[in-house]
Amino acid sequence: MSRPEHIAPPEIFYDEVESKKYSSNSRIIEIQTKMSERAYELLAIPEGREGLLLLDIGCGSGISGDVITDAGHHWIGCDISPSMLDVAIDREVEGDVMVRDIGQGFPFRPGTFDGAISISAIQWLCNAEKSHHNPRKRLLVFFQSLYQVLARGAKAILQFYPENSAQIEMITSSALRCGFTGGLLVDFPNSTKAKKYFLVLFTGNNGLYSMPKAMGVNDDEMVEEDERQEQVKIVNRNREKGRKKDRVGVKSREWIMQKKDRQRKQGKEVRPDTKFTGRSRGPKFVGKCAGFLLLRRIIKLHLKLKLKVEFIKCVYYGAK
Amino acid sequence: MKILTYNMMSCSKKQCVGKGHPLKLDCTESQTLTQDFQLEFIKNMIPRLDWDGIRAVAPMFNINLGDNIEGQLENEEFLKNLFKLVVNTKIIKGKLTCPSCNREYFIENGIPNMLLREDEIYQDIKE
Repeated sequence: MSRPEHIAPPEIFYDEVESKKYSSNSRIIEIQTKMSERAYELLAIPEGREGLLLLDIGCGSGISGDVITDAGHHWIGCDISPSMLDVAIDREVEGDVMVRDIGQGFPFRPGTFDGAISISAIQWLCNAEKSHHNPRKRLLVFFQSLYQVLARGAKAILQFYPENSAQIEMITSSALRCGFTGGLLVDFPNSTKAKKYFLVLFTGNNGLYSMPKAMGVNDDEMVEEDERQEQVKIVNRNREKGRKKDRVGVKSREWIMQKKDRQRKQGKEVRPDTKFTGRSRGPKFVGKCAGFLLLRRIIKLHLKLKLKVEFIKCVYYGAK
Repeated sequence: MKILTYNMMSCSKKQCVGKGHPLKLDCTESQTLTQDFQLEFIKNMIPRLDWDGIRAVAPMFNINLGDNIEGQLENEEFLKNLFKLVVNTKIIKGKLTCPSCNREYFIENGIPNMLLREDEIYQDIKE
């Protein structure tokens, strides 16, 4: 996987071109929305509770903010890339955005927010972009300031892409040093692609909170179920050899419908589905048509032959 | 930037901790939004609002909140006016000035630029 942190500092990497991707690429939007929904879920705001003020750290074009807005809350976002914020303003997001380097802390009064989320942002803090940057110091400033601007009892859910275990260690230890409790939650730890790291932080430790459960982890119940599935799978393999049967055939009606759906999601122009979609085009020229063609060919050949004979006759008699 | 955000903000330079708010607002362009009134949100926000800041900016946008703010927290008319001020008023262009260090932050296209320069970042965090 490519790492944008290695290419350029965030305010330069997310220029106009890269920012536009975030408002047009359906895959990026889908992934970002999914992670934001998961982060919001981890905040565990009681159902029916509305009208809270949340902080979106590294809000970018406001995709994560939209999830907060949909849940009925207000948000304020910080991001270092002006181009990304311009996209957010163009998209007319409900929340407020400002240009700010999160490694410099937050310019808010203490106790302002009921919670904070961050999607794919804090790994940027682990890189020193300028001569005066010190990643450890910047992380400390960030977490201290975050602790201050959160109301007591608030939570912060920070999703990030650590590069290695040293980065994880650096981030979590910085957070714990600044007074947070909580820890790291890893969704789908056994999958390279779906694996997602969430730093779950609580302000104030009075034993009220417990770490939420990660997704895709084999706890006891799931292990049992997995084993059962494994057994079924083995039986199937012995009987049928291969799994061709449950695959959808290429160019079948289902396959075409799936492909059209996929292209629709990508925003391409796709013909509407009708009863003719994926229908076969009927028999080709066989049967009576073939008979007719054969006849035509015979007649043609016959005529050609006749002409040739005529010609030879002409030449023969003419010469005589 | 909404007035709500403005009200929550403070100068984040080290020497301004505790006295960097309310920022002084110079607004050259503003816009009125049309969000529906949310009673729950405004009730959540009331304990956190900085009334000095509210008092300072309310006349700039021709919103009359009355003199006795603390006495009216149950008055719906007052809450509606307050909502109109803090949520439905957006600053498009202007300037924020820290009352303590006079650092100026500019607002362009509704986005305040709160980036600090290299020499303004607080340095004395314990390693």
